[in-house]
Amino acid sequence: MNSTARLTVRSHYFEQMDLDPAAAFEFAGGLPGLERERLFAPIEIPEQRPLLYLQSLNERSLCLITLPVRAIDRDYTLHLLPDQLDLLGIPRGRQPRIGEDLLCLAIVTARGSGRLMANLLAPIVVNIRTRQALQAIQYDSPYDYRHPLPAAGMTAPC
Amino acid sequence: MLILRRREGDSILIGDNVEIEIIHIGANKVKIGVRAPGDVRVMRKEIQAIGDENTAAATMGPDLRQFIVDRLCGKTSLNNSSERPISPMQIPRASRQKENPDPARAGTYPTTGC
Repeated sequence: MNSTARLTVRSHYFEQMDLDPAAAFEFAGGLPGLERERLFAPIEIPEQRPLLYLQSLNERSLCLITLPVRAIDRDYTLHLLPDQLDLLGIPRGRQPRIGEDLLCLAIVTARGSGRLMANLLAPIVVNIRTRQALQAIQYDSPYDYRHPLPAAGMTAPC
Repeated sequence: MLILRRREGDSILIGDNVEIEIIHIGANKVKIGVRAPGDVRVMRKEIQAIGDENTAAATMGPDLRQFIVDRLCGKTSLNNSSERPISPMQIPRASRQKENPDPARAGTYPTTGC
């Protein structure tokens, strides 16, 4: 297989684009509720930073909207269990660091009622070097899977 | 709800094939072992809630997606510094979003096929 082969990302939300296969995030264990989705393309729209989209490569209608956890809570702490480290391909022994070893993202949802929430209990964690990824549930943490996001209006146009 | 008192090492049987054993009782945690056939799904209840949340998040319609962008994009209350990229890795950039995501199909998860 040609190592320069590009993947085509088809999405209901973005114009079709090509992707270096090495850029995809690989969830070898799937995601709860989305067990069939193993590969997601991270997509950034510069004007919409720090939002990061995760588009399923298998199903074009599935796209998660995420925010870096530290954009929501500057002091967010992550603890990974040994089997979670194994799935990420990170040696056991020390906790990896957000921003150096890992990307740590909270999935954002909106309800029709106008509430915005971020899942801080189960962040998406990505090994920056290998792009192995998983949803790392923080079992003994104080974090909520429906953490309310600030409701004030925008302060700057996109 | 049936309530039973059990000690460390005791078990409970559910039906013919499921056994739940109390492995260890700590100060505020209990370690439990579950013996069940492979086709019986066993999981922490939180995982089910997170799965429901994931599905809802991935299949939000265009209106809710736009609402998130409008509310969060460029918001200074987020700890967002344009000087500091959110990620030290290369992230692909979309040239643009679809003007009108197909409303009939966007935000719907197919129930058949894969």
